[in-house]
Amino acid sequence: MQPRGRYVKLNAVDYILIVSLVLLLLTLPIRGILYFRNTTESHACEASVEFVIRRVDEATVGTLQMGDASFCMPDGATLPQTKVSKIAHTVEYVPNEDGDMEGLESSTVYDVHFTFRAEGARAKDGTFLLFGSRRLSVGESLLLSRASHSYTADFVSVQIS
Amino acid sequence: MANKQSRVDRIAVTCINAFFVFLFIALACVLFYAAKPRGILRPDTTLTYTVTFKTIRTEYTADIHEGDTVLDAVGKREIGRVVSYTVAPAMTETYSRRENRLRTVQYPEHVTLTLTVHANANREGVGYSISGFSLIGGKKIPLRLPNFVGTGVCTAITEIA
Repeated sequence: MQPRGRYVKLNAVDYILIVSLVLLLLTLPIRGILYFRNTTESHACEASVEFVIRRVDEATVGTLQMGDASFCMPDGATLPQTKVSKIAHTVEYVPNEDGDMEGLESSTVYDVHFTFRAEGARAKDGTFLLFGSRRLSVGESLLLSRASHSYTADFVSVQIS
Repeated sequence: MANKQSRVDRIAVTCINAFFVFLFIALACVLFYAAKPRGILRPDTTLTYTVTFKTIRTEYTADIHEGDTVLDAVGKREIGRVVSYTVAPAMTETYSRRENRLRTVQYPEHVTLTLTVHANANREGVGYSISGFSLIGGKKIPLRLPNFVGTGVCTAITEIA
């Protein structure tokens, strides 16, 4: 006696629906790819970038001036070789007796300015893309690390050439 | 007996057809309403909104231009274009020991930046949506322009059409 069993035979309508389902699911990655391309359309360029590390004590200034270690960004990317462009006394703003804010130069802490040239790209909206992918604009504040120390860096100039 | 079996098989095949049709419609609805990129809807209004950035360094505002593309700094969506901007001295409140009162004085080397941005938007609840970016008065908005990035507060929204 043959074992009882049932099987379902799919007809043309079912195959059409299955193919349509698969095509529908494929629209998701295609849409994702198109969106990605639209937001990252860019052309290659170079930029001269300046950032400043503020309120650095004298011992740290010496460390920052020496050494060959490069700065690393929060995502681990290494910045091109930087050079110290300016060291200035930090200016602190305090109210005087009349309440007016006065800028006074500190004698113990400094602002250290660094510059570097970076390869990247200019995005469709005009923003500079460092290494072709990371947007970088004036006013950006990033935590950079170097030789087991981290520093808050303010990006003050991004000149695309 | 054979007729009964044949009828049972036809019912089974019909149910499977219905199942696939239901699955197709359900998936199409899910993909259209939940998975579509936000902002796919045609904008139903045009507006200008104002964002105020308080106490930012003067040099950060040096390269802002009318017509600059404005991006949401987090989602990287385009959310308008700059139509105008104003830079005013940053003010702060300090205590005057001489007069024994609080005074509002200028904060040196810092300014208050006010950007007016033009965008197409959709009305969404009590606020608006610009390409999926939610906009409402009083909201802190991280914005990125080609040569500036910062977080400001939306202080006004005006519908134009």
